Amino acid sequence: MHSRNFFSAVLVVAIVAAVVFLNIIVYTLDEHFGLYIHSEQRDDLSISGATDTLFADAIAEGKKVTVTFCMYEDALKVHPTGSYVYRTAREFAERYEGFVELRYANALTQLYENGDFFDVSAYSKDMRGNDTVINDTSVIFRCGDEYRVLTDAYTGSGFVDFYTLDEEMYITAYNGEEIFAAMMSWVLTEEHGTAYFTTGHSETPNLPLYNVLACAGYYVDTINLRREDIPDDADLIVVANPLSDFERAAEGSSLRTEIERLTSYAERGGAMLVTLDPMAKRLTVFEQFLSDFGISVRRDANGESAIVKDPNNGITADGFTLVGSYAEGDVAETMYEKTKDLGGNIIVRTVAALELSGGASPLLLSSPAASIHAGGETVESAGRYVIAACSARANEDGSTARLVVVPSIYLTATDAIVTNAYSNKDFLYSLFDVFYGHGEMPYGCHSVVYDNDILENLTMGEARLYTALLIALPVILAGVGVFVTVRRKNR
Amino acid sequence: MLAIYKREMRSYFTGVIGYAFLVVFMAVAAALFSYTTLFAMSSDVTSYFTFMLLFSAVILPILTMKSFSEERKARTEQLVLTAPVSIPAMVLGKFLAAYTMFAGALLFTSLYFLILIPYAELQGAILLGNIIALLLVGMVFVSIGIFASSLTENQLSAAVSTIAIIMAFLAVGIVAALIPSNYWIRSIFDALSIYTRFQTFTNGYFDLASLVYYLSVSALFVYFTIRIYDRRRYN
Repeated sequence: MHSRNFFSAVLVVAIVAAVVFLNIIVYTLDEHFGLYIHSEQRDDLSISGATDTLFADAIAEGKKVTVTFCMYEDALKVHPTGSYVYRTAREFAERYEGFVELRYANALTQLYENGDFFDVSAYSKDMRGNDTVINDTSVIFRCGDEYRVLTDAYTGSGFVDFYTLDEEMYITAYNGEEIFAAMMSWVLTEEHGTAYFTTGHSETPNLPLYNVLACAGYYVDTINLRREDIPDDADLIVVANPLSDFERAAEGSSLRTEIERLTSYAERGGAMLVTLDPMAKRLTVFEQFLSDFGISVRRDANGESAIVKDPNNGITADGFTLVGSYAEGDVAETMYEKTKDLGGNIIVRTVAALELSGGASPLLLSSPAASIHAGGETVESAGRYVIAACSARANEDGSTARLVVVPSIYLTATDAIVTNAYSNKDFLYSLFDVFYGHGEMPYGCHSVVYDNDILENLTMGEARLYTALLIALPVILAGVGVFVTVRRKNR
Repeated sequence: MLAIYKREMRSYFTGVIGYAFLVVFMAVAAALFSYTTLFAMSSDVTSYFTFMLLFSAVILPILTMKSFSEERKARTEQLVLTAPVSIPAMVLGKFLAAYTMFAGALLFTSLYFLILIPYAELQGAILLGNIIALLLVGMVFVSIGIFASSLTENQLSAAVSTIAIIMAFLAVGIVAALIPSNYWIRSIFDALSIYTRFQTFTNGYFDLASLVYYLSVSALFVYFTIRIYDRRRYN
């Protein structure tokens, strides 16, 4: 008996020791030889084909776009950031054979890969005469006499123009298809207007909108209306989220301040795009200027913006991130036709309701279930509030002043723009195309977004429905269990 | 073993415990899924499975507490010990039955992630890694549960003992996190930690060492249970 117990104890200890020893061996082998499989997510870099119609006319006319990399092909293939750009370029060249030609050159030796001379000095200035920088990560797009140079002169990675970076300079998305489409469109077009962002009112730098405008074919610059007049090449004035009011000269004064400059610009057929922060203080002078176009921000008696809220059709639980739908009206309907097949919702967060009068037209509306929230309370639940509007005002000289107002800073936020799920970017493109008449846009181009775990387009109503269905399953099972158990007991 | 397995599976559904386990498991899984994904607007699966790991540490002891202690309390243990079935077959039959209940519930509730497909790109490797990791952890918890159940005739004591042992294993991971990584003892704690090894799977790494760890710990506790009953038979 005692010998059996002793033997059993020894056996248990031996088994435990063997298990521990086995784990140590496997752990050591794992550390040395990496005995694991790591499944990585495949990056889908294939172009979507959204640019087929964009280049159809140019292809039919026999035009040709040359894309020159300032790095030889073998080096480009293995470059950490350039390899993705190379792959996109190859796909464009294969898809549009004969229309897109790729060339590889060395900017230092000034030789193409085939030995021809590469004249770097021809690109030392851009089309407006400003100095450019050419290095080994430059990409030059050319069609005839038109050319555009993209150079990463800021980061050490190269090819930064093809990527979206966060504040800490980490890559969050790859936008190769869109950038190729935009730059190719750029060099196929002879004239390019300039979009000027106003400064001097604590406007928040709006890099996503800047990039969208660049891809839409604008040069982008800034202007301080307190100090300078609006130049003749201004195709678009962008007022992005001003926090302080604009200046207006006293009545009867001959001074030209900001509002006077904007008024003159509008009277000669200028175009403006305004985004407002509804949580900022009231900009009395500037909003008066907007109301001359028939667009006003709805406010309560205390001057607070009326914020639109939609808990059921919003995509956040608080109901302040809404899905906007195109309104009825010529402009909105035309914009809708351009974008309806591209998929995705237009989303805005913390958006005020607009009031329209005169010739102003709605562009985007909230859902019929939306309500108005002001001063911490729900004040109205009429639904279908205007959350973006446009106004086209005929001038005496026959020109037309155009204004678009979006009372939210979120329409052009990075996570609303750099995504394939929402169509905020295509909404902006259709605005430039349809309302501002700026020409064909790179609609529908895909970005590859990294580390994106946001559930896009899921509304809170849908979330509640799914939750109810999932909870119903165990309830049904409980009912079945009770039925089976009671029935068995009663037999 | 198959007969024992079938008998155990039948007993889960002739009584209340099988239905109760599945109902509670599915309800909590649905609540956690909604909380960590739908209402959080996130397709990140890791937080859901981390919560499910902690929930499993509580619910599996309740599932396994009756495995052996009920037989002892009802004095039907002698019938089992004298039955023409080997002790290992009996223990494995009960172990596999309890594990089947857990694995079936887990795999069914993992189908909830299909809801997210229209709204986000699910990372299949991460999801699969989490499911496999939780299946392995569940195997360990079930083996601990049947071991604790074999030690006592009081089901509540069996459940509490199981939870205590599981928490001790999980506490190893907490202690490991407090030790600076340049100390050699940290690697020992990491090697013993259920949670640290769980995390390697959840990051998409299918790690052989962690697989061997989970299987060997489960096998060890099943072996201890066999030894206890083997000793009881001959005593």
